[in-house]
Amino acid sequence: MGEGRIAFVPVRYGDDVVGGSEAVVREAALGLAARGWEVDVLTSCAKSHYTWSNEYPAGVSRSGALTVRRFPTVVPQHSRRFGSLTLRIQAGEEVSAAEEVEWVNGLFRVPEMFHWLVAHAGDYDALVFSPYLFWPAVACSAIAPERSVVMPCLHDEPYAHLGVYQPLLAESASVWFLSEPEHQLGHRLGGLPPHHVVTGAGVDVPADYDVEGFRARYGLTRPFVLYAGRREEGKGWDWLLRAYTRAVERDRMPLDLVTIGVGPPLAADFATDRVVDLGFLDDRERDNAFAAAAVYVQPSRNESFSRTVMEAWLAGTPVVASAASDVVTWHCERSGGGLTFGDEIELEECLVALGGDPDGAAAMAAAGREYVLGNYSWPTVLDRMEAGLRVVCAPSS
Amino acid sequence: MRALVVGDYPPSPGAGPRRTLAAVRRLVDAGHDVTVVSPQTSAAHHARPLAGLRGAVVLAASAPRFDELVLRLAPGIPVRPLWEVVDGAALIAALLPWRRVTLEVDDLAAFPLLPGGRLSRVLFGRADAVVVAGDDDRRLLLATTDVAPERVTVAPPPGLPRPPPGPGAGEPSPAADALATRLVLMSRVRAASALVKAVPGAWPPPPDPEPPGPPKPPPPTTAAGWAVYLVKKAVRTALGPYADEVLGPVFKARLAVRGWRGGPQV
Repeated sequence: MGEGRIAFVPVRYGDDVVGGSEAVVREAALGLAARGWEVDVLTSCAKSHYTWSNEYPAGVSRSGALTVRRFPTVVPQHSRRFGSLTLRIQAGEEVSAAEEVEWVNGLFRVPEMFHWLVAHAGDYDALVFSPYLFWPAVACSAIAPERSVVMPCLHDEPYAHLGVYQPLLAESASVWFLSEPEHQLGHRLGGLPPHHVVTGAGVDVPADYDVEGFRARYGLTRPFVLYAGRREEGKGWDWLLRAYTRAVERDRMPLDLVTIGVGPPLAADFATDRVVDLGFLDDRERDNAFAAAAVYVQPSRNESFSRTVMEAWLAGTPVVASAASDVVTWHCERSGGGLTFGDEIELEECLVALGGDPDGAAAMAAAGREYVLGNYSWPTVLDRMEAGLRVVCAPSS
Repeated sequence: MRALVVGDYPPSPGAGPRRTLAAVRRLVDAGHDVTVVSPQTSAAHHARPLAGLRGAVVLAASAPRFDELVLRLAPGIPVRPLWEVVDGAALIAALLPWRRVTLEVDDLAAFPLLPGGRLSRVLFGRADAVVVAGDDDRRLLLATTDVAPERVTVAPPPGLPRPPPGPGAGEPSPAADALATRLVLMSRVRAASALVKAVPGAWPPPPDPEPPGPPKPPPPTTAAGWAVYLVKKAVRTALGPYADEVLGPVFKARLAVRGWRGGPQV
């Protein structure tokens, strides 16, 4: 183990944890460990980002080449005052500095992680915190800012504008961004440390795909548009479901809608025979789903990288994405691998156009795949991360 | 050794919490078993009311379980502005059962107890060690109390390089006496100013700065608009600190009507 000792500090960690930043952290940690870094993962016992309750046992375990150290969350009883404060922040109302801290403390805390890091932060050459939003990053990055790296996974959302996050971004040793629009957002939000870099995120390239087998296993006989990830309002799922249903009612939709991932089950009034929920799939079946789809749809505006878009392109599937997301629009414009929509009608037109032009769709998907292989393979991304780590580690090693 | 550290703590931003954290790290690195108490929910082991007499009770009751107290003095921890005499006397009494006391103060001029006053002399005289934020405060402390110079140390803000000590650092010089006098006067001016401003009507409040963000809605222009405005204001005044809890659901309902739903997204 000659490179140095580092710790990744995600809020959640586990093979069955769904989330973009969590996936990036997991694969970056494994990749750096394979390159000779001694890597620990310091995380909470939570699995669900809805409850933050302790589902994994606290303590130390091994996960491949990584040592995983889990600490219990402390989830306060949410009061009406906390709910009101959340609503005020989301509505863009001004809140005091004390209220900002109250809000950060009010989601959940991991004080035992903090106490442990007070005693052991010096054991590491670098600590990588991700994402920016939650208590572990805000509180624990203050312990050793000179060796703290933040991978914030910023979205342009009201929370990102709170002053309580400014020290996290400005006073850490380095900030790693996943895309250029996220980097620009970081500058707009306030100060950044002298060393900050766009590392991007890596995506594993599957060796092959089992399209026919996947279709047969799930009884999918018609062409479909795929949605993958968390079914949440903030990810655009509710909007997509309404828009798709209305397009079906107008009899203009050539594609079924298939969804994979986690979130509340489909509402009964949307349960037409055109919408299919396959639930949470393992990595192999997820990749097959991307390959089997005619189009992948990304309706979220809250993206800092959009890993699923990369996975769709790798699988040879074109993308239709919300133009409200600067990040995904940037990817689509740079790659030529996707169309963007500004409203429901444009979404419908995009799906109709790609559904009716298989050759055009295939050409776009090929451009997207080329873009991912050129920019976001793990070896390329790990090179950038290692360069960033050496800047942080240099003073202490 | 078991140490209790009392003060503001992360994730609250600012120099105070960072200094408390730095004190904790020093103790932990030295092998002490450290417990932290802060006045609000934080990364500390415990959150306790620390202002005034309740803070003094917390400190006194903790003494049997620890060998050392590191108390980071700040307005309200535990001495409150305008309550200096009562809170200061209670604090001095609360420190009596402690075996070892370290007092840390970031800005002596802003500390509610007047430098040079009797309570200040007794309080700092009780401390086994005093940590201040700069050489000016060290000179002020030495000039206004009987604390031995070797018991006063200067801890610069965490993360900032500490300037080398200048010539004459240590014993107060004539120039240092003048500086101490100026700082004493400044602190008295601040205290008097705070007292005057605390009396309703004694001082015109400064005009409200224009808040950043979206502009305020224009004032009502119709009689009905004024009626609604006055009713809302009366309700909020009557509810006082419970206004948010009562009006929160109403606010949420208004947002829902406008099409907003959902919580924080990851």
